[in-house]
Amino acid sequence: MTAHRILIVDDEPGVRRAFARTLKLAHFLPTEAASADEALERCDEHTYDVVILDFMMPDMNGIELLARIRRRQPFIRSIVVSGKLDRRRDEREIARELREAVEADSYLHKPVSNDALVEAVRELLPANGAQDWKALAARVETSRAGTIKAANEAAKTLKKHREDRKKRDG
Amino acid sequence: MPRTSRHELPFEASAHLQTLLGRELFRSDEFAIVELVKNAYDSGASTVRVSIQPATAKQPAAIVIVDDGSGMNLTDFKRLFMVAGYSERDKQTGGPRIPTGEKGVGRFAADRLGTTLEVITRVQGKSTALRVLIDWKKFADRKKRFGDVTATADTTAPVPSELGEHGTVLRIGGVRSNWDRSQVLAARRALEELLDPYHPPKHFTIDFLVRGSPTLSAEIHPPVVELADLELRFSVQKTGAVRHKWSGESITKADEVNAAPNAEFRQLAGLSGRLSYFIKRPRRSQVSGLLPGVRLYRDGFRLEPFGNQKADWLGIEEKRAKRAGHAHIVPSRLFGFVSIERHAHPDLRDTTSREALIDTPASRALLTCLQNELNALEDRIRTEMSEPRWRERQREQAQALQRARLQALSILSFGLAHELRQPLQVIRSEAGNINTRLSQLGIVDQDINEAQSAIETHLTRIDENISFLAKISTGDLEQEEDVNLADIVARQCNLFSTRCAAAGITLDVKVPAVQQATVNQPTIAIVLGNLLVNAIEAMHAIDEHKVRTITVSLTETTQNHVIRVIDTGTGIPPDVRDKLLKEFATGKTGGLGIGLYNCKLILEAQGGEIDFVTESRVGTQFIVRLPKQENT
Repeated sequence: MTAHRILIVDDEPGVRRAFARTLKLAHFLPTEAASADEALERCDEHTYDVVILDFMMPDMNGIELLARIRRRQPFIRSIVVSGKLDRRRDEREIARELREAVEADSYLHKPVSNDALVEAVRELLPANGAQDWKALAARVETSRAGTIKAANEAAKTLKKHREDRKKRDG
Repeated sequence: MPRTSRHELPFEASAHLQTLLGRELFRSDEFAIVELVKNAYDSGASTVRVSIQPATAKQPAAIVIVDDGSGMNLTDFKRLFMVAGYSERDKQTGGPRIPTGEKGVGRFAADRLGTTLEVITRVQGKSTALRVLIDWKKFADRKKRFGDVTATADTTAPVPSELGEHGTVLRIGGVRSNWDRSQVLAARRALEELLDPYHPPKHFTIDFLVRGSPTLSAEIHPPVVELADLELRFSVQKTGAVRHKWSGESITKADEVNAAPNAEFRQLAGLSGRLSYFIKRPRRSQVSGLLPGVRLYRDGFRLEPFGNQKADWLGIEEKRAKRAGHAHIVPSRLFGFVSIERHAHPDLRDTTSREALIDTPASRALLTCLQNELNALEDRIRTEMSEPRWRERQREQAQALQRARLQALSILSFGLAHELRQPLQVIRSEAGNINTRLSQLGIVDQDINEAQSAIETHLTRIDENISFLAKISTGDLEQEEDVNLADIVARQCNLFSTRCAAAGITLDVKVPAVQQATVNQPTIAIVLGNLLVNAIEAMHAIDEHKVRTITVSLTETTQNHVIRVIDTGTGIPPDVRDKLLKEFATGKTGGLGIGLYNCKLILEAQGGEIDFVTESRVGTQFIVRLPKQENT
């Protein structure tokens, strides 16, 4: 089985390297990018399964970067990590909001533990190696026509449709 | 001899008139919706449904308004809808419903919302509907005449499913705004505030539907204002006498007074109103989020702009400004509701621009009458409940001082939080990596595991402190929220644990696991911080061998949450005791401390209090009481 490729974008070298080491030890293939530009370059070279990016970076914010990466790699799943102040709301709530705004799949507060990081990455990878092709195909189809948001709406609808059918069938 | 030649010159209107009547007469989209809802009411509807579809990436926004009013046939439509400035409503007298509009321009509000309007309307007993398509863009040409613009009508259109036996559907197309969440909320708010809280229109329901958002969709209810500290209800009698009734939280005995008849007020007979005054600025929940002001309602519907923040129509702000704060009515604590009726008060009419009442003897009488009521309220406030101005000023000063400090702290802690969390992340990750790698290499060791978990625990603690500091420094001093008070007390004590340990003091924190309370968090943190600093300082001068303990406890009684800070220090010297909670600190105190008197003022602003018991060479106990809210 081939290892999953993970792209780590953070302007802080220490954090970047630490995350990379953690993921390497967990048998992933991490690649580091120190800036948004570098991240986009890496995306032109390889396809990644997951991108981990900092919410606040000097040259471009994480949300904008994510939108650009998505344009190159619509299949990529994402984890936004941030040391922002607002710890009052829990991670799931922020994740939901981010999902609505930029389709970030997951959100983690810094400092995040290694277990939580690895767990978050694993959760985003397809369980048995099989991609959710139909939904992803719909996402790509529409992202050509319109925005990423529209594409994700389509994916969401498809998912719900399938769940409903599953419920109905049995 | 000059030849006389007489001509009759007809007036004409440019098609541009529509833009003035429609798009530019209403100050916002929300009020255009309000206007269309009022029109639906006037058509006799008992239910009107406003449904908004916010714009998405795929499709533009859409607005549909459906009512179950009487509807219109082609003749009605031509007479009532197609003639600008024409309305028969001022002539309607009998009948169960008094119309809200009389100007004959409300329907043009649809132009404000979108570029096209599809009207589908059905009268009782007809199996088909009348469908009219209006394209507002046709009015864009200034050279065209108003009367040259046409709309297409089809008298045998199928009845859409949302329409009942009779009524009207307005479908707005080419919607000009995106209707994002904040705009949808503003529209919902405008509809809620349209309704008179004390005399809402009878047999009339507004349903507000937002596609895809069950939380934003709701039946519209007028705002509810809780019983204020002082309430003056008044009504004008046929004789011109004004009847007063006083009530309120701070009035023990409700009393009624009748003023002598005033001939000028006879034209206001039937007017009623209520002035609600809160001693402290009320929480949003107490007034359903209403902004303060004296509002005017006619037959159950709000008249704009009376009571808006910018419309000081009764001169309350002006009076306060002129008297340099010596006026006793503080505008932000006054909520007024005045109800008039179209039939009883035909001369109380607002201008088409919705800016003011048309100047008539009746409108002047209304102003005089309300001024009298405000004066009566002011007298009562002055004699019975006013906090002295100097005290209020001191409180404001204390809060301003504290806010300035919090702001500085906030800037500092925001930067710090971000700066600290980066290295924390590295330490956490790399410590974990070492552990993982060691176990991958087959090295499993109890000491490594313990060291690892100690690092985890303490990193978490640093992180929690960063969050807590950031949180208290970004808060404002009046916002109250429902929180676990026990947690706040414990965390605040935690911030002082190192300092206590360094001074050889045992910090004993006795709090329950959970104690929910509605409080302002920064206030608690500030007051407790002050008390802890004082307690630590009180311990400096005591003998080496004496026990040094600070006990912080949180308990509750039926009425209060009680926080105690008990030290075993020197006690407060007798000459300081009397002054301690009475003297205003000028900001010379250092550290977190802002002086106990300031703490007292900030606490009092939230209905809390602080007291102490002290004994020389034994110690001091400070007791903070915070009132429980009724709903907790």
